[in-house]
Amino acid sequence: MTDDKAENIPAENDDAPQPEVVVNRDPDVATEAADAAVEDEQLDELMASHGEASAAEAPTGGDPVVEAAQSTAPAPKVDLEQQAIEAAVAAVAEGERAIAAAEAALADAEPPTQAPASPLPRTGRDHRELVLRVLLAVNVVAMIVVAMLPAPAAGPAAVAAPTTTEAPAPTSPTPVTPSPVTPSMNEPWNQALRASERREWSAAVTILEGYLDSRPEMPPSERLSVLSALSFYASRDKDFARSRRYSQQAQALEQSHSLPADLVKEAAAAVELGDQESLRRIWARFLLQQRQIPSWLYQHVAQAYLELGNSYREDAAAGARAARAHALQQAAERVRAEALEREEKR
Amino acid sequence: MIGAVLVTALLVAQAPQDDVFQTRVVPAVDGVAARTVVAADKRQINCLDALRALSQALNWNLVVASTPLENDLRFASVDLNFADQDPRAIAQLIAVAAGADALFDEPADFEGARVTLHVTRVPSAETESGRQRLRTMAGQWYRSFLRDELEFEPLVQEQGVAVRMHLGELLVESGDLESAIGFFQSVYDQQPNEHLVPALLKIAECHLDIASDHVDRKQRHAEYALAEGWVNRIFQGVRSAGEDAAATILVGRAMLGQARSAATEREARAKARVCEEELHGREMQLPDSCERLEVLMLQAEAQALLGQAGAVHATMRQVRRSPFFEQLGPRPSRDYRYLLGYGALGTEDPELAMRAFEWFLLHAEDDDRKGPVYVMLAEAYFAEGRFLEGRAAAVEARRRYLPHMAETWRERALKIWARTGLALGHKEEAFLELEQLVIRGDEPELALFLMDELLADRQWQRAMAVGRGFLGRRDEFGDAARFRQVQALYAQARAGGHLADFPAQAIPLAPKVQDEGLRRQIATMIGEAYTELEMLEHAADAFRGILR
Repeated sequence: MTDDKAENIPAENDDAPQPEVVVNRDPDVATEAADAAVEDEQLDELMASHGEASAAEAPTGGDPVVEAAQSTAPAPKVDLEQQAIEAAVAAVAEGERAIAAAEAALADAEPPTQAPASPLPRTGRDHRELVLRVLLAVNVVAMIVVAMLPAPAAGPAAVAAPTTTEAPAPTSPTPVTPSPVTPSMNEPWNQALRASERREWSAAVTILEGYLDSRPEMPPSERLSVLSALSFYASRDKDFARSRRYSQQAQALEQSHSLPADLVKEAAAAVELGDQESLRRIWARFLLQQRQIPSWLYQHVAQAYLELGNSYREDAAAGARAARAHALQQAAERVRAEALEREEKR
Repeated sequence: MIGAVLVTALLVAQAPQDDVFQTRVVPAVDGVAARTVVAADKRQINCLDALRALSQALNWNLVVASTPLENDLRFASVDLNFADQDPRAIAQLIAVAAGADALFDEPADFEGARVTLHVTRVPSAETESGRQRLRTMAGQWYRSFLRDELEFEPLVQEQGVAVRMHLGELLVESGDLESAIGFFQSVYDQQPNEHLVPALLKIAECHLDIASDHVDRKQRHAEYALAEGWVNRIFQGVRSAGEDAAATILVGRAMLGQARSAATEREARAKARVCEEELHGREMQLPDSCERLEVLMLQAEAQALLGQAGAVHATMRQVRRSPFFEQLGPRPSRDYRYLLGYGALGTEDPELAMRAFEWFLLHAEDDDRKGPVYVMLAEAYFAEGRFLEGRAAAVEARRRYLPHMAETWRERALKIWARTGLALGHKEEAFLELEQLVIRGDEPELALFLMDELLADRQWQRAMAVGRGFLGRRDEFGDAARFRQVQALYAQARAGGHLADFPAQAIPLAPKVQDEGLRRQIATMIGEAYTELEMLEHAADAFRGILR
């Protein structure tokens, strides 16, 4: 979801280098800078928690950006996304530098009595304030742009991006919600969830990594969920390299040949259940991605066509049988009525 | 500023994505027309946007049947990753992925007209049109299954023949018999396989159905002959008892069809005889079953075409004795009553015929034998002395079914109509109408019947006037007309006391009669006239066949 991108922004904040800046010890400036930093953090918090809670909780309606991001779930555009992320990272780094400057200013501030003594710092303070305000505005716009950019639709396959916001992990829809999860998956998955609730991100990562290693035959859809979650937890653990690696793995998996394999399994399940409607949808989705069907699955292309044909034919045949039975019943009733009528006439 | 950014972002997100599909025109090769193919590589696109983008890329109009369906299409998303695909198949797949159906309206016949893609709900199997659409869709997917690039897939190798059979059956149900024959024939060409005999049976059935729809007699005859040819291939190979019975029924229908559509009466009788013998031989090899009873009834139809009412009656008794008689379906039950009535009428059992025909008419809603059955029913009533009922049946046959009847039945209808009219005292009316019919068309049998009736009513001059048009004919009808002419002259001469004029009037007609029996009867009449005139030498010559 686009919310993920919003969560990205502060994550880079934490990791951003602390710039060395010349600071003024003016307490007003320091206070304002500190206020701005707090405000920025609060805004980040609001964006992130809103985004993370959006699926589980009803939106408060207070943030139009989040609402817009939730209401639009367009298809992803990989290059645009990358550019947006880069722009957002740059903007956040700028913001971070400003915050760092403010913090430094606060730390080195002189006693308030000395502040008004010099007129020069006053001009510098104005200048810094202006810079801070501009940077904050840029930061907000960058977050909005990132939030509005097309991203994969919500669902288990969505890739979680690193974030530094305090996320209610158990209710977070994107990385946590497992799609068809087998019973065996519940235990490590729940353990990871519990660890994340305790903010033990490293433990959550370790649990899921162990789970991933223990099941090399894990179905692709499940693997995608686990990798997404790993990426998320690693980012919370501030291990961005690892988070990026898992994110890339998830993305690669999503774009790999595994999805048709899942569809084949789903089709088999639909056949077992006799769910013709689902079977048609599954095979149609399968056939629409023929170029990513590997050779070992190509046999199912023929099977898809065959079962689509069978499905429609059987529907028509069942309808025809029912119609014939109905017609026969009607004819029998009519003949019976005519016979009765004749009897009455006699 | 933020608002403007939001609005812009929303508009961008909702706009159809133009670059989803890439089209390419594959040039015409080896007689295959040029065609447009599409490619796409896009993740997580909703079906509505995908269809919009496809329509835009192909310059189609897109019409979604309803807003709820549009929402359904919007909620369903697909991944697109294919190349060089038929755009219509892709549209269908996208629709199916969203649980919908896609239909195409070809462009109207004017410049700039565009194809319209209609997206609708999946048709309901409860209506005939819905079932038809489902069959069409099934056929489309089966054709994709059988396409060249999947030819060597193990599943295609394994199921290809069965799918061809399904496809043929779907086409039969859709009424496209010619195309269906093509698929059944491809099954036959891939022999040996387990569907060989069913395919041959289907081909024969298709030819029989095509034949029954032909108006042209020659084409009908040719189709029946083709059907017989395909069924005979079954008899050359191994088949089960059920298949044997089905094949025997079909060969019987094909041969009877040929007999009925033969160019001449002689050919028709010859084919009917062959059919009767063939079915008789095969029927004896079949175990007792409903199918065997059907074969027996086809045999009886052949006997009826040969005019063997007694044989028909005997065959129907055989049918009645079978334990499977009660299991006969509606159509065979009607056939049984029809043939039973026919046999009973021909074997002087009009009461049984009457009951059989009454049952038939009660249960035959749209049977094309109703006309002949009314005629035979009228004849049965007439033979029973129930003239009023006979008249009613004859009037019904004449008023409602005469235009659709074959020549033989038409004559019988008119005869029984006249007879019942005469019996009820509507003599003049009957004679006048019959005279008009005879004058209007070439109805030799009817003319002879009218002459007989007029002779019986002592209206000799009128009888001669009716027969005058047939005196020049050189066939059996001409002979019969000339003979009746002599009969009328003789009766008139005797009644009028002008017997002396008779030999001179009759002798020119006598040599023109080719039938020896009739010529002898004419000579006898002339001899008797000479005897009464006391011209004994002339009489003796006349009795010896010498007319002077």
